[in-house]
Amino acid sequence: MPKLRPLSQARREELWAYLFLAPWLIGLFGLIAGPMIASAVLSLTRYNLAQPPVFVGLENYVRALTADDLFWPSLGRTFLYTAIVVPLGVAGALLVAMALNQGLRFTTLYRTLYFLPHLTPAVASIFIWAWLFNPRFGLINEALWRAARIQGPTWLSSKEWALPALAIIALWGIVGGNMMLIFLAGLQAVPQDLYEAAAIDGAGALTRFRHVTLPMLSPTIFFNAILAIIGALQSFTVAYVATGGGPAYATWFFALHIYTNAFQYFQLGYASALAWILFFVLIVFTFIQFRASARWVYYAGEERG
Amino acid sequence: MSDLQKLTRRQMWQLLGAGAVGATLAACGATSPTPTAAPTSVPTRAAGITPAAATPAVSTPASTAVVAANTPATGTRTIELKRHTSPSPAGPAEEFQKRQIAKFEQEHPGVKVVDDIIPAAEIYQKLVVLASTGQIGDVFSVLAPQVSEFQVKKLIRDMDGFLRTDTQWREKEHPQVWPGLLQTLTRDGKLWGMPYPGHPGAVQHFFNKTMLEQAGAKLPPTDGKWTLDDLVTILKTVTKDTNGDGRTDQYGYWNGLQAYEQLPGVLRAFGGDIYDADGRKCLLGTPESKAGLVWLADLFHTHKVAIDPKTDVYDVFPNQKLGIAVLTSVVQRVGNAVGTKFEWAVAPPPLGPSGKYASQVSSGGTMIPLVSKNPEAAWEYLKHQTSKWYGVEAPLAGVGSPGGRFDVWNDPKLFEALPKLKPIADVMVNPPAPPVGAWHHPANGRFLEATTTIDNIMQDVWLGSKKPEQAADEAARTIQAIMDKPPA
Repeated sequence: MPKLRPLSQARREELWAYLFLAPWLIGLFGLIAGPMIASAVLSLTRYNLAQPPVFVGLENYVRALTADDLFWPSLGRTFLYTAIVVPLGVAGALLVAMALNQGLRFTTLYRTLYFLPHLTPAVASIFIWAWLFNPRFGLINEALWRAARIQGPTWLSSKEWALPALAIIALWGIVGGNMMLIFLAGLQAVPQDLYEAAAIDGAGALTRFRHVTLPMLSPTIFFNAILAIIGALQSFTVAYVATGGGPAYATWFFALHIYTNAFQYFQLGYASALAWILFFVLIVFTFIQFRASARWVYYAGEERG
Repeated sequence: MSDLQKLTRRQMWQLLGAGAVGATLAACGATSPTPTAAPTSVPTRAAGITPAAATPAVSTPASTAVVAANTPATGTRTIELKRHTSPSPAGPAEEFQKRQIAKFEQEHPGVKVVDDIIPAAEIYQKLVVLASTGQIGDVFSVLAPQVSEFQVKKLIRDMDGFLRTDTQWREKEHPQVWPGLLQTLTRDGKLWGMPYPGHPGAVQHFFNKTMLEQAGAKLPPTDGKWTLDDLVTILKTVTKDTNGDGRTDQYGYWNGLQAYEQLPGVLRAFGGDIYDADGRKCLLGTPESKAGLVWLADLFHTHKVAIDPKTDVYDVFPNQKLGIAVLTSVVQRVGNAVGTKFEWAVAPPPLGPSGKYASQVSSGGTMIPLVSKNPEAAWEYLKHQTSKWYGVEAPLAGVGSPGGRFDVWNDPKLFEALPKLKPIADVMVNPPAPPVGAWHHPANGRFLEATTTIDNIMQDVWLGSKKPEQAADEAARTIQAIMDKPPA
């Protein structure tokens, strides 16, 4: 039997690296890649949990795209929700970060207060907002009436106002949350000499923001925008808890459509197909954003020519 | 060079990936144990439908024989009967559950009931998963129409074999159970569960007597001799702006209008319905159903006497913002919420243009999974839960509605404790009242899918964004498509 040669230093280090990576790899394959592969296989079947899956090919995908009355409306509503929440969320988080970057007194306290909504459990905050939005007894309509004799809408019970109401609930947690912290870190990384040089050249505050802050912050904005879009397209909790997808499907988000088909109707094969369609939609959006980023994202030290 | 040294990073990733794919495909290919019993789906519990404690069946020669067949001989293993249930609120309800289980175990020595408590919000999903994967116990309950889903999934056992051999129950007890309840749980000529509890539906008009008298409105009669027009007159009188701020803050009418239980209660007064008795045809598009929807829409948009169905009725009624609430037999719950704030009572529903009032039996269905190892003991428990004792004692303990039996709704003890239910019993349950109508539902087990769809379509009507006739036609088309799908 040949004698095994001792492992080289490099090989030993490599093995230790894999050992430390092992828990993450197990999680990746066991909890992410594995279920993804399973759902891909199930998406090609008719499966109600009680009987074994029956292979049906692309029938679920065809049904989703051509015969599901709720597929396109739910996708449209999700896009609309994303179009409201993402720009406002990103802009709002940037504004709050800029305010907190002014070096005012009690900045740490303000930062904590702004971050608190993000720390509040989602379901608890949604219940509180549902009461605030109560058309008869809620604080918002009461304030509108007392301040300006405005009869507020029925909010979560209104087809027109339910989605904006959900957007407000989401923005309350987004604006002071992780995005704000990332923007704050980005702002603090902008070299001060750039601002000084701009000031010397006669640039006002708005000009400095437009020509110094925004370009230097563009990678951070890009990063936050991508994550915000992905998060908004997958929104589920706020619709599930606050409105159940109603009224009259007004807040029937795509993720809720997937959940309902999977765990209410137990059409697991069909729900898997819907999940994969959403995955491809997210890939397309992310690809478009990366391609578009070449036009407006500026990386310091990058040369364009 | 050792084999280990020859392993490159690329090879390692390839091996890991192949392993993951292989393991996943192997898991996908493995079939989950499929119970051979008929499937019953677990609906989300509606307000007022809580599994009432069943009165323990009186021990009879036939039932004793069945129990004896199940009961281990002295010194042998006790049968553990696993029951899936949602938690009882602390207090009298919890005490009753202990009492009814103790009574059952005393009457069936050798059988021990073991509860698997599942939070009410998750119980439906968990029961379907447990049943589908063969991990379910011996006894579980769902809303009666959702028994069909478990039946079409072939997850539950039919009752016919038990009824054939249990002569005592079949001849003495079974006839007491409302025919409408049994009809609801019958599919393909077989009975798939036993009903508990039972009441004549979400058509019982709870009214704030004090408010109506102060407004000068006529009180709803407890003998059922009133019409829908009489109801509208009362509602108009009661609906008002009480504090002069220009906004209506006292409404006449609340009805949840959910498709699974409350909407049929109105449509039937007009001779309409959502589903036909066979569960194969949607009736929402019929002229009678449309007439019922028009009447409801008028309450919101013409007479403006109805409050948003999504309003929490257990907030507005006790707080005297509402004159009439259309509910199930929840007299205990309303009594606890109202306390002594005002006088209230319950009236049977008014007569519709059809000359009839609406009734749709409401109940849960308790089933025995096909994979149960103790079906005979489970049958004994089903009888216990459907017995007269259970049907009377449970509501007295505040555990939901009375049992769906003639002898329960005729029991003086029930009405001594819950006198407000007497008008309902006299007009809607006891002869010469016609039998309480069965709870129609899709035969293919897609009850939840159909009701969710109807609820969303009909919200357009309550919101005023769609005409009732248009919504009815749309709903009829969509629901018929759901009813034509393969079994759930």
